[in-house]
Amino acid sequence: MHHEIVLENVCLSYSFYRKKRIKEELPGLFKRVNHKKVVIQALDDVSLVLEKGKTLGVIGPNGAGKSTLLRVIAGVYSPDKGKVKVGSSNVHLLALGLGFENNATGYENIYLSSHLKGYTKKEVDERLADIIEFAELGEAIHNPTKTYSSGMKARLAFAVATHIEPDILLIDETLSVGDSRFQKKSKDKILELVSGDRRTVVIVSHNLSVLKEMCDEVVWMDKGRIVAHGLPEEVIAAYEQKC
Amino acid sequence: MNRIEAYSQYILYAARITLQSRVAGSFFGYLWWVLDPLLMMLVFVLVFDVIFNKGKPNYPVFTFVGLISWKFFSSCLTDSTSSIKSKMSIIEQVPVPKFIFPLVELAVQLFLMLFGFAVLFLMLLVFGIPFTWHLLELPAILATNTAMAYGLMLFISHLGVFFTDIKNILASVLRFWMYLSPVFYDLSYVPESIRAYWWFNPLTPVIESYRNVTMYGRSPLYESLGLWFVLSLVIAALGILLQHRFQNIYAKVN
Repeated sequence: MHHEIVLENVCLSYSFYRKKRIKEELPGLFKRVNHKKVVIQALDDVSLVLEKGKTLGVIGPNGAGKSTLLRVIAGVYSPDKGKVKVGSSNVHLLALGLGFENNATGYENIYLSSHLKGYTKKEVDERLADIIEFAELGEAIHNPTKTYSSGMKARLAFAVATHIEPDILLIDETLSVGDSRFQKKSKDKILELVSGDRRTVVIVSHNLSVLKEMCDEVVWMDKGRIVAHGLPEEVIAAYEQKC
Repeated sequence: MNRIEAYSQYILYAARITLQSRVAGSFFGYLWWVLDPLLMMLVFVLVFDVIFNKGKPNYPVFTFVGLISWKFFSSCLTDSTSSIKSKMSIIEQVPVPKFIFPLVELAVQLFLMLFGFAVLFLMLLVFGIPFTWHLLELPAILATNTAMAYGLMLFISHLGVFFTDIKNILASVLRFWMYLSPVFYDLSYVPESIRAYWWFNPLTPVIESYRNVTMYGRSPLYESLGLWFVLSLVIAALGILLQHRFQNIYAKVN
């Protein structure tokens, strides 16, 4: 079997500096004081192997490191320690709080975000009609995205992400996008992407029943560590018992 | 997938949208691209030519050449303070080489400067300054000016992610820099004892060369342009290396 995603002992921490005040910093000029650095260990010794074509669900409480895990796989962050090997460079991360240019229209943003992901104009042109149709924005597609509601933005982002057919699709909490009808539609679209053995998908979600339905494997994370990794029913049952 | 093609399409597309959004909703729209440098020129004509009576022949053209090249350079640097920072929501999601973001600003400013040059050619006509074959040497100066700006933009956009103060510092630096560049005065006004120092300013050969080809029918100052061009390429290469080293750290900075 071909290993599409391999993480070996990956550690990643964020460090934040508390805001400094000159008044408090002055003593520091004369004697050594400890820097007010807050370190948060987002991923702590995470190892994971996912085969090509499989769908992995990631569950866990808020702040467990789920989103960070996706970003490490997407190549947005590099780990502090450990190794990340990803089989394809055609990786797409779909998350809320999306990278849209707010002054540009929805239509323009389709091009902007696709270009940034490495797709040429020709490739976008071929999919444009499908994307616009799927997003169901109507005339609003020609309005600036700053006029969009969060649901509209999410729908557009979802349409872009699912139509450019990445080899590896990483979905962060975007299963519950839009109204219930669109949720059903997006679920069907993901099921369509997940089926078949070409595409590898990692889904972070709190919607356990959907994960049970879609995933081949589930990982349970807590405080940056993997608590359990196995079949969806078993891991989710254990997780539900704990909570 | 062809990333280089896609990224260059992104740069042009984003530059076009930036240009459009800057004039959207304003009454004069695109006319501002002409009005802006012309009004600025008027200020200097008023102060230097009318009040101090220190103007050279064709002083409006003289100072206009200085202003469009200065405006290009300073706007590039100012805009670059936020060119990576303002793209954080993208950077947190897509692994993309960050050096393309300053290129968007560069393309925008380059377009505005070319627009300024179109106005300049009109002014040459109005003032009866003859067009010469030396105008064909313009791209050499433009290339140096652009490389110089881009090299610095890479460093400024990097620093802009970490330090908010960079904007204020840069504003002061640019104020000094403008008065220390021959934007609205001629080098011959600078006391001879200190004039040599002006050649440490990369904008001196650039602005002088622009004037040579447009107003005086002479060649650019190739020697010092060439020197600064090579130096600018080195600076740009170092900037790209720096951004490459930090590429996965930018997303973590809050």
